[in-house]
Formats: sequence, structure tokens, C-alpha cells
Amino acid sequence: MRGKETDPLIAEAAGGGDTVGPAISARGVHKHYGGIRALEGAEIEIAPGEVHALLGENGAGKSTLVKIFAGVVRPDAGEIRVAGRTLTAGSPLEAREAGIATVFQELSLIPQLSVAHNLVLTAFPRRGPLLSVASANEIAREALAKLGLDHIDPRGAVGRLPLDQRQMVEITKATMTRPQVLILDEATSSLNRAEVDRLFDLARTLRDQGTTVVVITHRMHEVWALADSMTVLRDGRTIGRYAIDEIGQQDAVSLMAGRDITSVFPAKHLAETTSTALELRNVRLRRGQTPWDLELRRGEILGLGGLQGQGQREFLLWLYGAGAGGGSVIRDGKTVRIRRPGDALRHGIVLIPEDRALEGLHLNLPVRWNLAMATLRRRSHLGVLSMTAEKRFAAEAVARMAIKSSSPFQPVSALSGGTQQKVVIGKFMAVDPAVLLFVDSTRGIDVQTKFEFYEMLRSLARSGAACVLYSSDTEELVGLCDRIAVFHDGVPVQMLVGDEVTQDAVVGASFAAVEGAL
Amino acid sequence: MSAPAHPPARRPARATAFAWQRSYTSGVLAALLFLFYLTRTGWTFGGIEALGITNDALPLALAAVGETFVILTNGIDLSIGSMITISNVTLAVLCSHGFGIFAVVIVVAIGAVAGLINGLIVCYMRIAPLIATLATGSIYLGISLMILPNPGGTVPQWLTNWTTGDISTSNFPIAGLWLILSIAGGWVLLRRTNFGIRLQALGGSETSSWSAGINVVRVRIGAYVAAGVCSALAGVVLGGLTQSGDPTIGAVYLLGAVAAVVVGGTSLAGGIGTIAGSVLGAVVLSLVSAVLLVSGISANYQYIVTGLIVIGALLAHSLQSKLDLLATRRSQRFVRAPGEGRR
Repeated sequence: MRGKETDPLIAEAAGGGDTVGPAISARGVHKHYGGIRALEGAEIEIAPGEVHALLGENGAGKSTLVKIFAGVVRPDAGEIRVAGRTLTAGSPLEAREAGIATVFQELSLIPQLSVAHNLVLTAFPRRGPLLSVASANEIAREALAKLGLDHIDPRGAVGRLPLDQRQMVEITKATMTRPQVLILDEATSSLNRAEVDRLFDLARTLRDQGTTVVVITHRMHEVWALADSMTVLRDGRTIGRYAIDEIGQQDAVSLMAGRDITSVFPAKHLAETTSTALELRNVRLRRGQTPWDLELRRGEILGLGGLQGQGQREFLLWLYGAGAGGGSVIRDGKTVRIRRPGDALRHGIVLIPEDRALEGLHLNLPVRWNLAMATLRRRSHLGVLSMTAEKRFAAEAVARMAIKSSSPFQPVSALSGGTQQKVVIGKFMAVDPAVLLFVDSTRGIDVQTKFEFYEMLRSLARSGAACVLYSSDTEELVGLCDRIAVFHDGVPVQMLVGDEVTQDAVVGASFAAVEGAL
Repeated sequence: MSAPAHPPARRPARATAFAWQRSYTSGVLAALLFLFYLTRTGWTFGGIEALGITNDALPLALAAVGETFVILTNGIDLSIGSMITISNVTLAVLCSHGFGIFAVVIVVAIGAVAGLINGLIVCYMRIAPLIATLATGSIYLGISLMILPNPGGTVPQWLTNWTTGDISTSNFPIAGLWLILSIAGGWVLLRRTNFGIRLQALGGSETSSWSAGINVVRVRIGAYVAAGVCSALAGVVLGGLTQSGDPTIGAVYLLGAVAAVVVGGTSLAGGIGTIAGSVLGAVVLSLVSAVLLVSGISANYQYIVTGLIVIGALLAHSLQSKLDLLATRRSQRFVRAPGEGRR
């Protein structure tokens, strides 16, 4: 069921006749980044007062399109119209004046400034000739309260807020301009369920008031929960526009991938005789808690479940020597001390960080050096690198990880998010890790790359590595993991094994843990 | 209780506290040095001493205030010394030709134009501020030497009275008044005007500021113009102090100004800083020479002591950030990874 294709859509629009024009539209938008083609004639048309989802893999061009809407990126060609008016390309100010407000995937707040300062930055209230911080705080307080965010202090520094609260501030900021078009680019990726619900309620309220809402998310169920219609993009082109009830999730995924994905998750590996990779004893992430034990097994994928922010991330950071906590790590019967990431790497423990740009990549360097970074010493003599060995290493790593780049010399900053993720993993794979820790690795990654990631994770496990995965996406945990430890308040309160691993069981255990503790 | 997944954390550090805490160091240092100074002079502090210290501090403080604006944008202005020189010699020459008060107006305009040139080069030619201002500084110095190759010229008495004299009835040094005014003016400009807020935003994150619709180029150029104007004022004050022009006068103020800004707690990474801190930083550096003077130690040691104080202040700032981070950690649910809180 391949709904309407692109051409009829354009013909229909070009035919005129509609009394109400689209709230926002894009025609023939092209954008190239170096050798990478982000958009190749994308077309989109969104009616006023609808919630419209933009679907596509990473690299399909969704984020680029949104950035062009926001005026942050200047297209090579094409036309953007808002309420019938053509926008000058590459002017964030004009986009804003036309009523477009965007919540970006990368947070756009200024960490040094207070929440209130960030919210009123370009429309600071005045008292006489000077700005009034008191009224700024008041305005911010009201705006936050309207979204049920009373617990956020407008005077607090944004840089000191947890990621999810920052995200909510970001959304508040976007809604403050009373936009005609509100664009949410991966806005839910760091929110918990309650916050997502609140955000969706807000989006519906805004829609009912006539605001057009554009949503980008990789969580398919969110699309069907919120959107009225969708546009599917693939490889920078528009595949089609669909109403929400004329297409199912599976079909949409197939359209995005350009083929049918029958099963997203690779078959689980039910190894009967798994041996211990690491034994963790008397682990304590917070002072005064009962210590607990955990065993990481070779050849299995262990998931860390539970509500968001229950210590899963902190546990992985502790194990990697990058966070606080106490307890002993036993490897092959010997207690090993891990006080910094260097120690962890020496013992074959690697962590794939969630924030690729900040923690996993050297954005200024080309692909090959990024891949080589963790193992430079192996290919050098007396500190001098062997270039032939480097060349061979880079070629092997690029091939092994199936990294799509125009050359190994391409700066890693020019790659798409999913490809960057592969570079990060490729770097760590070079140390032949025994234990791999993944911190929300699929956040903001498209379906196709996710699929490849799952396959890779499973084959890593099959080759004998112990994989530990924390994901905020329960569906992913359930589909992928052999065992799931449900965390609450820094403690794995329940272990689900084999057949017990179901979406209901994980969600149930997460909420039971909370209720049981109160 | 309905089990909120994110219990409200204890109130996070206020954004404004961020910047202010860092300026405390310079206040404490100034107070300590002043006490030490008093023990040396036998607890006497009269109009003459106050005049000496504030007159010494004022030109440095003005230069430091100017430098603060640029450093807040995550840049640096190395032409400050030369801009001081060019305004100082221009002032002396113009005053010698009887321009009177117009000499000051012209000199300030020259400072603004010099700053504008810096800003335009940095923004439009996309040259790193360090190199761009090093080059323009060299040019400005060359022009200064063309205007006045040797020390000379005259600056009228009224200008001296207005910049570095004392309010005759109370013995209160007028330079002290200017210091206080520059703190107050700097606070208003930085915290209560759109320019100031945008300046901090730009220093915090350029891309965020840009996507928020801020005209980044205009704000950045504004910072360099402000630095030029402040340098020009410093040149005027120096003219009043020495009652002449000198083409070598500005050189020492460049490093002094950067040192004062650093002691004053402004982050070289941009975005965080206070004008008051920089002014106090300048006072600290002036007190160092005053203390050395009354202690009978050779003024040659001044540079070593200044260097040690800059390093000490930086240590204090990093200690402060660590304590701050610790407090934030405690107020949050879980311990964060090292470095994570610094984003």
C-alpha cells in the first residue's frame, strides 16, 4: 500500500483550487554537505492545524529539512513558504518572525545563563531604559507553570539542570513565541513517559488552537499516538504523504527503509553454558544503600531497564571508571581496580557513550584517526606511528564497521549521526573488548542504522563478548536482551530472564518497583 | 504520593551567582592586600595614598573593563595597549593645538573606530582574534609613532583635575569615583541591557545564540568597539595623569589588563564574568605595587609578584568551580561523571 506518490501530491498542490493554503511548505529543496547529499529535491506540504510527522532514517534529510525551515541552514536550492509567503533562506530571525519555532535535537540553550534569561533572550522585558530581570523571572515562571513545570526555578543556571529538564526548558522556549508552526525535532528523546505525555498534551492543545506541529521522532508508536498525517523521506527525497489511518507502522518502516523489515531484532542467543565475564560484588551507587551483586556473562546481552534516571547510566559510568560508586569488580577470579577509563580499557571494558559528539568523537579529525585513537600504541615503534599499519588498520576498520564515508580522510563531523556512531564503536572494537557497555546508544538513530546496530550487538555477543545495554526505549531492550535488570533508585531490583523478558514484564516491574518503595 | 520520576532537586545554582562567585577572589585579594598595606604604613591612609593607588588603578581598570567585553565573547584583544597609546598621543597633540574638550571626544571616537576595525576584521575576515588584534595593535602603535615620535605635548590642568585630581573639600580621589562609576556602569551594561545579555549568550554558545536569532556579528563587533572606547578613556586618563603624551605608554597595560580580567574571575572560555571583578582585579594589581613600595622592596619584583597572584587567582577559581560542582552533585540524585557537569 504505497499511498500517494510524490507526483500527484505536487500536481494537486500546483493545481491551486484549495481555499486554505498549507501552513508551511517546501519545494525542490536541495542541500549538499561536501560529498554527502542531505536533501535532493524534497517536497513537503503541511496543512494548518495538524500534527504532522516527518519520518525517515538518519541521513534521510529530516533534520536538515527542519533546520532549513528554522533558517539555521541555507539550502542550495528550493523554496520555503510559510502561510503563502516565501522565506529568505538562512535567516533564523525571519523564520521566527514568520512564526516558526523549533526545538532542536541538539539543545540550543546557553548553559551559562539562567532559565529565565534563556527563555526571554530575544524579547527581554524592560523597565524604563533598562532590562528587568525580575519581570523576566516572572514571565519565565508563568510560562513554565503553563506547561506544568513549576519545579524548575527560572533563576537556576541551565547548565546545572538535568538533561530532561533542559529539554523541557527548550520546549517552553519554543512555545513562548506563540508560534504558527512548532517543530519538535527528537524532542522526546530524553524525556520519560510522564513528560512525553505532558508534551503530547501540550502539542494537541496547541494544534487545537490552530498551531501546526511538526514532529520528528524515531519512536514509531509516538507517531501513531500523536500525529494526524506524515511525510516519509528517504535519501533526501519525499516518498509520500500519508494520513495516519491509511498506513500502518510496519508499512511506514518499509517505506523508510525502502524494503520490508520483517523482523527488526535479530534472534536471541540462548546459550546454555555461558561463563562469567565479570563479577560485580557489593556495588553501591549511592551512600547508605544496601550493596548488591551482579554477574556479566560472556555471549549475552544484558539490558538495564526501569524508569529513566534510576541509576542505570550511573552504574555503567561507575563500571567504566568514569563515575562515583563503590564495589569490587572480579575478572577471572581476581579483583581488579578500575579508577579511570584507562583502567577499564586495560581490562577489556569499553563504554560507548551516548553523546557521540562530546564524548566519543574528535570532530576535528578525519575518520581514520578517530578509529585509530584508542590503539595508536599498537601500531607505533618508540612513539613513531607506522603509516602503512595505520592505513591497513583504517581500511579494515572501515570495512568491518561498514562505515559510509567518501574517504577515510573525511572529517568525522561531516558524517551522519548513525555513521558517527559506527566510528565510535569501531574505535573501541579495535581493543578487542571483553565487556561492552552501551549508554542509550540508539538515541536519535534511524531505523536502518538501529537495525544494523542490533545485528552488530548480537554478533558481538555471539563472538563471546558480554554486552550491557542501557536504553530508554523499552521495546528495544525487550527485543534485544537475554536478561534485563530492572533498576530502581540505583539498585537492580528485579532480574528478568529468557521468556520473562516481555514489554509488559519490564514496564510492570519498573512501576512496581516505584510503588513498592514508597 | 504519585512517584515522580524526577523528584525536584534542591535548587540548582543560580546563574548570576556563577559569575559573581568568581569575582569574590579579587575582592578578597584586594581587601587582604589593603590590610597588609595598612600594616606597612602604620595604619595611616590619607588622601595622598588613596590618590596614588586609585590613580594607578584607574587606567588599568578601564583597560581591563574593555578587555572583559572581548574576553566574554570568547575572544581576546591584544591591541588594547596600542589603542591606549594612540589615544594618549592624539590627546596630547590635539590639546597642544587647543582643541579643549573636543580633543577628548575625538580621542574616544578614534578608540571606537580602532575597535570597530578589530571587530570587522575578526567577524568578516574570519581571522582569529589573537592574530587579528596582534596585527592591528602593531599598526595602531605605528600610527602613534607617526603622530608623536617622542614623548611630548601638553595636556591641560582641567583634564588632570577631572580624571586623576581630588575632590578638594573631602580629599576624596576623583579616580576612585570613576572606579565606582565604572563598576556600576559595567553592571548595568552587562546585566540590564540587551547588548550585555547577548554578549553573555554569545560567549556561552555562539551557535545557540545564532539560532536564537541574535545578530552574533553585531554583538561581537560591539564588544570590540567597547574595548576600543574603554582603551581610549584609559589613554585620556593617562594623559591627565602625566600631562603629556607618550608613544610607549600603552605597552604595559595590555598584559596588566588581561591579568586583571583573569584575577577578576572572568572565564577565558567566554560567557562568564563580571565588570566589578575586572575593576577589582586592576585594584589588586595596583595594590601590589603600592605594597612593594611601602615595604621598600624594589619595584622590579612587581612583575614576579603579579605573575604569582594571577596563578594563585586561577587556582582559586578552579577550586571554586570544583566546590561548586560538588555542591551541584549533592543536590542531584546521582553522582555524575567527572567533567560531565562542566558542559
